[in-house]
Amino acid sequence: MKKVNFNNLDQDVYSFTLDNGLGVYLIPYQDKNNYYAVLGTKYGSNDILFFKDGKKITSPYGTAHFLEHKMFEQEDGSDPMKIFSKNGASSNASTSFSNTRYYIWGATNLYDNLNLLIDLVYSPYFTDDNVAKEKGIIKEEILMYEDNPEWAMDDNIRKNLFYKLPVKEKIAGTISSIEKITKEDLYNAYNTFYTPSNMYLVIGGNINPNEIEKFLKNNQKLNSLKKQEEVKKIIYEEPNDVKEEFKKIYKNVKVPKIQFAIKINKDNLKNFDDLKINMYLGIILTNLFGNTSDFKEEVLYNNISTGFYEEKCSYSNFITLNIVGESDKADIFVEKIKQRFANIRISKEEFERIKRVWIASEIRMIDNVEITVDNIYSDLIQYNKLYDNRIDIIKNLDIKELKKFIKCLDLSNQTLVMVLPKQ
Amino acid sequence: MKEIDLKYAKLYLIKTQKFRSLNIKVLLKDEIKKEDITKRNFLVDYLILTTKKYKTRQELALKTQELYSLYLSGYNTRIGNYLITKFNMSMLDTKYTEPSMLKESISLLSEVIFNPNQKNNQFDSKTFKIVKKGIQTEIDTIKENPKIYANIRMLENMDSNKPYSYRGFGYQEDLDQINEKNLYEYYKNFIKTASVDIFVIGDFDEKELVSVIKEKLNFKTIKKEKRNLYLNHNYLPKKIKVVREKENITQSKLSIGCKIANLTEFERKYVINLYSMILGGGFNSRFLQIIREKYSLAYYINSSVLKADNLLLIQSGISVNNFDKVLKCIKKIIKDINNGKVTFEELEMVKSEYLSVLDEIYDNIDSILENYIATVLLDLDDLKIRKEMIKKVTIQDIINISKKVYMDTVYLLEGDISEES
Repeated sequence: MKKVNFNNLDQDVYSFTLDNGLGVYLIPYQDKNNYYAVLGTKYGSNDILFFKDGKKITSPYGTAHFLEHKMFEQEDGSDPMKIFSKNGASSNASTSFSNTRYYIWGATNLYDNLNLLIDLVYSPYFTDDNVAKEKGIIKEEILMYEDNPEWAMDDNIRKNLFYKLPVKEKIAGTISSIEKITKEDLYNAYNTFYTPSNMYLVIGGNINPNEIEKFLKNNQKLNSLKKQEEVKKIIYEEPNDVKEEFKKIYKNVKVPKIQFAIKINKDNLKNFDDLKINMYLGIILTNLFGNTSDFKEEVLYNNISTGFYEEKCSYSNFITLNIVGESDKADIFVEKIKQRFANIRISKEEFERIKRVWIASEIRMIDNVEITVDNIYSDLIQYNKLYDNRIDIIKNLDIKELKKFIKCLDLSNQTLVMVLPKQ
Repeated sequence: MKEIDLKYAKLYLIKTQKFRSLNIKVLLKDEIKKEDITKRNFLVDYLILTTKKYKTRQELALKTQELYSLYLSGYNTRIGNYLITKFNMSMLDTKYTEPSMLKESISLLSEVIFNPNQKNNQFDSKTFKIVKKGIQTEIDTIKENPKIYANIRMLENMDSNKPYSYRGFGYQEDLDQINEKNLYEYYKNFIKTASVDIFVIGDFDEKELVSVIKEKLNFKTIKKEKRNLYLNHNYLPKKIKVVREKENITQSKLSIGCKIANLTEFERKYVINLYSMILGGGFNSRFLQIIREKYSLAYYINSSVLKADNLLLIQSGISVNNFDKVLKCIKKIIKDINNGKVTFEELEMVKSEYLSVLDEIYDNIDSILENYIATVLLDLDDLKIRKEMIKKVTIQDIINISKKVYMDTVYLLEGDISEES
């Protein structure tokens, strides 16, 4: 078991890999009541095409999310949620574009609950009946988001951005795609992606790392799983440019909303590692549009927008920079955004201030078990490694390197979605 | 928690070394009046955006970043008969920054509360316009979240005179009346009439902290009589009111309001929570097990309690043609409990769920603070006592309380289903 000091802040992180390939990360806290555990796989809604036993498989949109809904189904009909509850824990699950995670949290019976979580995730039980039953529930879940204008914008912006990447569709799929899902689709995906070597287990809070290590190494279920070769992901040949530059949609809104996005292919930034790409793009976005930006001040005081935020998203080997906001002068607002992106200038002072704010938030974050576990899990999914020294990395960010980075950046692939009031 | 009487305010201190930050919440409360809501929202949004010293939003934001990313926020919330304005501040523990940061940070909070950007007894019109536009947008976009809108309409249909039906983001007719001058007048009056509570959590030196607070958060409050926070119902429903309204949406939103009456103190503090959890408090609840898992009629359906309002709310998103079916199911589930169909197993399960929610409170700085605030405002017991008392709730208690919950208003915000967008 390897031990590192996290961000030099009196917080240890332990890690090891089980024989079956499962990567385990443990963050013991001195003075917490609760534990929080996440078990997840690098399989999300983007993985609709994959190889299984050398054969190319195509699954309907929404399969990963559907599988997540059915993962806690038990052959003996017992209800695991009840057992978690009795054992003083709660559980939930979520699916994103890149991964699916199952998590539990509670204050008592850690080992029983962990044991159950492992059992559930490694004992699939899909039948025609239990698959059919879920369709009505997921249909209502999809419909729940239909009337939310922000969700509608984001759904449409991805459709505008991408030709091939399956993230162009909703994580939950569509009402017609989920109709097509069968238990075979679920088993194919399960057997491909739910292998321990494609997964991570991260546990934080009131835990003892040595005991957990012993427990996991003696766990029957985990020992019954063999290490398998790495999952071969399909590389989608996604062009650099956007599929559509503009789309208008009509919803129940009174003030028009816009989402403006820029598509960036990370392959064009080969001189920078993934983390640096993310950090520098973060600094650029904060500088251009953040709370202390001149842009925000100008736009708000001149009544061009009533409010907006900036956001960076990751989709496979692409990153998008987004501005999402409300405006009854949308054309002027968008023009201003474009001009701002065309003219990036960051002073040393601003650069250092952003770093200082980030460092402060790294320190605050450690107090929160859930956020820390989630961030470590996200690092593992995104970078396949843990960055235990982010504060040092932030401190060492260099404005000269940032300037080089900006020169390599192509921000010309832009798209816009507008939500306008229904007549 | 230590309580200190500052004469003009109660100061509550929670000293702990568990966290790397120090949080302060200043609560200004007074009795809610419908016509005050918009004004108060306007005021808080304005105060948090600009001060005499930091005249623009940007200047104030830069100052907070200079103080090692100080978090400052302000908002209003209604609890029962009270409208409460909360100013929150969170700073890094000074061992990660500089010793002078405690005073500097509280000074900025003080600046926000006591030194607003005004000239000649008027607020600054540039910032005033931004805030007005923001509130206008909030009022205009009320229907964009159909779930919340359905809930508001349900409560308005239940009793439009009761504070629980007041719209939290305000009213157009009130907004139209507000100007730079009368808002400043309102501010001057509010700051000296509201009753004040200050809560602090962190690893502080008590003497130093109290002296800074006395200097920087020195309200000139005129003490007022304490009013009852809890809302009681004037009458209980003889029959259920069903209201359906059409809206241009895809999924219909169901919102049901039940009145709760004549609870004993024990029931109010403990039994009502467990009852609501059995109904619709989580995945194991009857609503989810039957309406979602058995009949696939909904993705979410939950119940929650507004303690100070003596209300229990049920919310779900459904297809319009399943409305009768869902409502029938809900009534049947409630009736079953009324008839004594509660199992020992499910009661133990919700107790265990509730206890783990209480356990979680200790791990998060803000939830500890919020828990103490709720304890003070709602007159709850200490966490340790709460944990013991919860265990004492019996099946009979659940059955008894179910007879004190009266379904009053069923509201459906009706959409028409369209297959694909």
